[in-house]
Amino acid sequence: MVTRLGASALLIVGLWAGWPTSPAAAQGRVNLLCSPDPAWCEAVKRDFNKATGIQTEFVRLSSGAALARIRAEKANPTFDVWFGGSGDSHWVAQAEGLLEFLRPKAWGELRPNLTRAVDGHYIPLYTGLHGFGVNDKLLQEKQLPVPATWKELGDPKYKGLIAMPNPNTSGTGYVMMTTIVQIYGEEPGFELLKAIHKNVAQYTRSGGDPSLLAGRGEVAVGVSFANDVVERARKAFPIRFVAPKDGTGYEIGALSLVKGAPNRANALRLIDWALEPESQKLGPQNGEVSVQSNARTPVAPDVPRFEDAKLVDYDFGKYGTPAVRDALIKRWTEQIFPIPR
Amino acid sequence: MRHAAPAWWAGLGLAAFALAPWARGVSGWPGSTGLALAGRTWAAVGIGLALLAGLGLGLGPWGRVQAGRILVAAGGVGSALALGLVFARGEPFGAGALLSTLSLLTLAGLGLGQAGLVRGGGFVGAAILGASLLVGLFVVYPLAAVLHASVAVGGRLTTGPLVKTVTSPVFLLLAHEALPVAPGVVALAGAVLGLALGSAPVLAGRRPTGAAIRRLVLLVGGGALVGLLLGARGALRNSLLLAGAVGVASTALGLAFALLDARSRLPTRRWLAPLSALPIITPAFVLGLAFIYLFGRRGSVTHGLLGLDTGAFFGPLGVAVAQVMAFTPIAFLVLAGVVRSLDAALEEAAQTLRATPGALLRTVTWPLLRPGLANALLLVMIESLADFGNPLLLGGGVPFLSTEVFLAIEGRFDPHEAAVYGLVLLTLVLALFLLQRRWLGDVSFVTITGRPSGGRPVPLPRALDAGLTGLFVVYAALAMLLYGSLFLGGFVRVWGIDHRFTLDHYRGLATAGLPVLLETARLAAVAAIPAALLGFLIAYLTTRHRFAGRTALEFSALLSYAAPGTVMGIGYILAFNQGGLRLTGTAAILVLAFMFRGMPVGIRSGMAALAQIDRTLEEASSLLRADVPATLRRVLVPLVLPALVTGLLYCFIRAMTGVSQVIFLVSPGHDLATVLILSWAEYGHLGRGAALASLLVLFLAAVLLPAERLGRRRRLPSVAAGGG
Amino acid sequence: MADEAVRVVLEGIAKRFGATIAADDISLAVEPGELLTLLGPSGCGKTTTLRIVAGLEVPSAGRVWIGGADVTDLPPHARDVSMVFQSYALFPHLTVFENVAYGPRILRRPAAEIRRAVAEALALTGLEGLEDRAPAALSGGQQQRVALARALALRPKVLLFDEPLSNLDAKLRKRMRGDIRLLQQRLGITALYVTHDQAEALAISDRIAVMDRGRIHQLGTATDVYTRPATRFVADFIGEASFLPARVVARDGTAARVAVGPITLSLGDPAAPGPVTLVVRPEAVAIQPARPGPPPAAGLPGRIERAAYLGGAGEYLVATDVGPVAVSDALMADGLLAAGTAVWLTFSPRGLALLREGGSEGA
Repeated sequence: MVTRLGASALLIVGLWAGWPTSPAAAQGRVNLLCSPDPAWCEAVKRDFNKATGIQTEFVRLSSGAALARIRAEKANPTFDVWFGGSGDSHWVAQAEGLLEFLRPKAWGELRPNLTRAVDGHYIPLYTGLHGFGVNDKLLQEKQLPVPATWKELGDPKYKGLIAMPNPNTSGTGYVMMTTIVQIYGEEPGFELLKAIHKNVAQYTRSGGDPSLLAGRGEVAVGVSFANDVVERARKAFPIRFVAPKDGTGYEIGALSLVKGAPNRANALRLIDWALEPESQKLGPQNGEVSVQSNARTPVAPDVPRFEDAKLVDYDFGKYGTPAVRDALIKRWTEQIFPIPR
Repeated sequence: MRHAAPAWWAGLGLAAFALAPWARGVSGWPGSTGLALAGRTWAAVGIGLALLAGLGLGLGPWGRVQAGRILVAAGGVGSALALGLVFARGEPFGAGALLSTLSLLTLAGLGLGQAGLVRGGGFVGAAILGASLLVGLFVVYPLAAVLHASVAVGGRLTTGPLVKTVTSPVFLLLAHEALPVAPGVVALAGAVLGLALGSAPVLAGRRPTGAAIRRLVLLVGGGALVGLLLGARGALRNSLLLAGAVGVASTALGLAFALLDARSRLPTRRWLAPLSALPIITPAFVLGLAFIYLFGRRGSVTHGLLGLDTGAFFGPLGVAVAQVMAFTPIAFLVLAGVVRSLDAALEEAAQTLRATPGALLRTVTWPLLRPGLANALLLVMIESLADFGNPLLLGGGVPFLSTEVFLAIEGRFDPHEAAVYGLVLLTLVLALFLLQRRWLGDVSFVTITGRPSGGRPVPLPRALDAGLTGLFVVYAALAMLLYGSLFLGGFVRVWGIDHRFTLDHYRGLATAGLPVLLETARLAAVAAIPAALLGFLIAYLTTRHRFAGRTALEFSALLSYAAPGTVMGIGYILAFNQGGLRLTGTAAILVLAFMFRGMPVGIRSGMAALAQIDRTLEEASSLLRADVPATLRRVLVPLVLPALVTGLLYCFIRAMTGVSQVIFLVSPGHDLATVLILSWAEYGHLGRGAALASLLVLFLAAVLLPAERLGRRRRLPSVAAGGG
Repeated sequence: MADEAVRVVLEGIAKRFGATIAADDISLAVEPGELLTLLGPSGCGKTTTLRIVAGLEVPSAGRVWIGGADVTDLPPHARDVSMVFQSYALFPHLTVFENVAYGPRILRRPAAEIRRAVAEALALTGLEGLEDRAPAALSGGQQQRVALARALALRPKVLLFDEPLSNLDAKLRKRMRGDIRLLQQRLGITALYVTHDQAEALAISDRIAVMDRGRIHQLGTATDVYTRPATRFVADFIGEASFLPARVVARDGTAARVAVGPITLSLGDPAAPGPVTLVVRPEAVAIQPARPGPPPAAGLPGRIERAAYLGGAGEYLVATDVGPVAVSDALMADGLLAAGTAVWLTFSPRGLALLREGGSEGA
């Protein structure tokens, strides 16, 4: 009996390879809090390590979770660099004194419209349009037209056919909310959000999920950033990006140095490295099919053009203010989210 | 008596105090030792003196009781000083601080035993103190940190967050123009139904007894409550309804499978254990993902097979079905042991008393099963309340308590609000415990005595056997479908879209997934062994010994089970991010989180196993000159070994599949498999996610299957002997 | 094998479980080599008292001395006592040999010595050849013997028995109690024995302590407690007895004259004049179908209420003016007397005892 017990327990005991040691703030190391597609995070880890010999480790958390994590670790940060993720969460973190803004060496090479918008708050890493990922096949089956505006998403005929990220957890969801509020004003905007709420089949935690649901045909429309939609389309999902005609929001993906970073010197090296055109190609190759911030980085042909969309004049300053952000999310959570669907 | 034990511990403590660095990350040995600190602070001097006192008391020719009392004082003051010093200095504790505190605490415990203040000797005293300290530090303290955050904003006490959260419509929505029927009306209907059911016997002409009136009150109240829940909306209502429905369904299924397991005559019986164990070794959200592929709008079953076009499985229904799939095995594991250990002689006795099968069930089998059923129901309801993966993936965004905890922290970063949700969950769990106590009373059900019994279990009636087996086949088919799609998903290019064969996903794992999987396994294994041992120790202490604070220890240990993983995770961050107990960023915090998440499983399985063992075996052992450690080693542990191993494996599996608690705790270089799968899945790398999930499941199956086989043979000699 | 036998002394032992009092100021001494039985109905505190001697319970008050040492604060494993449990408490995962060797192994005795001790204990209990069996594969009587052998293997100074025979059938019980008594006497071990079976107690004990509600009612030899019960409870619990109201009318030195209804008896118990209760054992009564003679030699008149045939004797319940009397009498030539028959009862002084009014509590 004991031998038999031993046999199955042995596997576990065999893994007792000593008490794990704590990764001290050793030299030659940098810790990333990575918010974009994990494939990009892995590529950065691999290539930066290859280029510099610095041991690179990352944890992937979506923007909201990453912000929560950085707040929780305020007194004693583990991470050196917050890589990627929606700009407004970086903005909030910077406003709360969790991040340290500095201009990297390549600041002058970055797209001026981006640097102008966020100077003093964070370093732009990429930018992309925000709109719908549409599954034409399902819409045809349902004999419904492709929605062209945010307003049309509120039409009851799309009931149960929409997926959107929960603004509580997802920067993508927050961008949708602020885009609508910036187009229509707060009160009518919330009326529209209420109408859309009644059509929503699924709120997702992450901004990447709705396009996935639309791609698989679980829903017809997934509110999403263009890069996610293009990425799905490249993987043969029947989905395409639609920029809403009543106003298209966009994001500026961010790169920031964590205040009190344990490996500050290596963090600065990583930031400079990440803004080189050669490194920035890694994004589009690994899921983040968007416009990279360095003007010298080529843009892939299937990336939706900013020139073709009716951009809203996105007020990053206002909607990056923690108080404004919290108030909007709170209002949505209390007034719209609980309504039975 | 072993007088040498205090000397050994004091020696160990002194060595650590003098030689090991007191704090981590402080350079300059030997200037960093506790001994060196003694030059700077009186507290360190006190610690050293307390250790020396322990050494003296251990070696000297003092009277037992007298020396014991002094030991208690020296150890108690010394460990308090050590803890105080760690907190006061605010440097993360090192090996010196850890070992010194541990030895001082052990000395106090040995003293307690020696002075006769604790029955059972020094081992029991030290075990009580040690277990209390661990549970206090790693269960109560983090929760206290969260609760502190719920009632104190910026250092001032306030009820603001509590009022704000509880009155929020997300929490509970009782009135809204969009509700189909007013909750009050439904509640009234429920009460009327309860009244009708309860008063039926009275109307039938029977005299109303006290019990009947109590039942009536219960039915009316229960009816009103269920009606209210059905009519209302909001996280509280959703979670309660879900937990109730899933609890009942899973327990019923678990019982059915347990009966088949012990008494079926059909060959499918052999498939029971491995198949029903499958969902245990799978992270809940992975099952949820596979579930969408089968039952979503485009699911292979709903759309492909049945031609339906429905999103019905996005929402509470889908969550409920997925949870029943996932949690039935828990009920099964609890009940299989109970059903197997039913003393067949009792049933034979009842049969000879002319009991019909129905009467047998009602008078003998049911009362014996009841504790197991209550236990299973309780476990499943708690699992359901705390589960966040399935509500998040399948719930369609409908609020549940656990997801709101998660969203409040992760999305709104409002630890105050999250703490209030956590408080509500804890209250619910507490209520479940009280219900269980009431239902079970203080009846003990000892079926393993030193006096062996025999008899063969009565096979199930053929019709029942066939019916239950049918149920099992449906469950098994569903499970096979889920796993089939998961395994296939790792070999096709894009799940659901492009079904051409590929090995790319597995090739990709070699660099990005496999190391993480192995690291996860290592951490989980490191955590599982102390978790199972500590769990059993606490079960033993609380069931077999009486001491002050016993109930408190038992309850706080179970808190770590009841507390939703997300609350525990954020509690760990709040509690262990700074000061003397700083652990964030280390693998140790993951190990501790795993350990204290798995420990209650060890406690419960230990308690169940100990409840089956007649206390006179231990008494006999003690009268044969064995002290407590010897009795544990020679009698109890061999008898409960299967339960201990089961507990250990379950701790390991729970650690490897859990996600909600550790998602906040993963640190660079210590990523975990589940967190990785979840983030891949979120970003649409489904193939790779499926591949890693498949590997994880296969790996855990390799761990679990031998144990399951063992479980089938783990009959004690008394049962195996038959005849008797 | 007989080490110096020891004395076990209980001094003012009390035990409360919450509000219930299990043992109330119990003092007694078990003499070296003596077998003393605690006898009483269930819940009388006898098992609690035994467990206090074993160290399994801590007394709320009082001290326990074994061989002159105060062991009250010692845990069970530090006391030189062994115990045979009602449930035997055999370790199911160990063989017979391992069960018996358990104690010596705990004490880390050399292997050869363990083998010798086990062999000796098994021989004493007649279990040779069963060493490798599992306890479950033994009969009830054999299991009981293993429990005994296990207790003996440590050569304890004190042996405790907690209803050791209650799970055996009647025949086996009779044989085992003889064996236990023989062993105990041969080894000269001081023994404390708990049972609720008065026949067992009478047969096995040097002395008996009759207990009820946490108190000792009487402590004495089997003859003492049977023929001179101290209380109505003792008289009632041990053997069968009828209780008749009576009055001591005269006392002279060593005897008393006792009036019961119309008749007067002479008893060898110098009680003070006044009301008493007369304890009547069934075998002390003879049934006379005809009036034996005029008072005071006359019998007590009565009528047979019930009659039962018991082979060699008849068992009757006779209603008299002073109360019902149970009678066990040799049969008349013409067999059992029928119910309803008018009879006269005569009494043999040897089966009678007096209870002072103060002693009529209990029952």
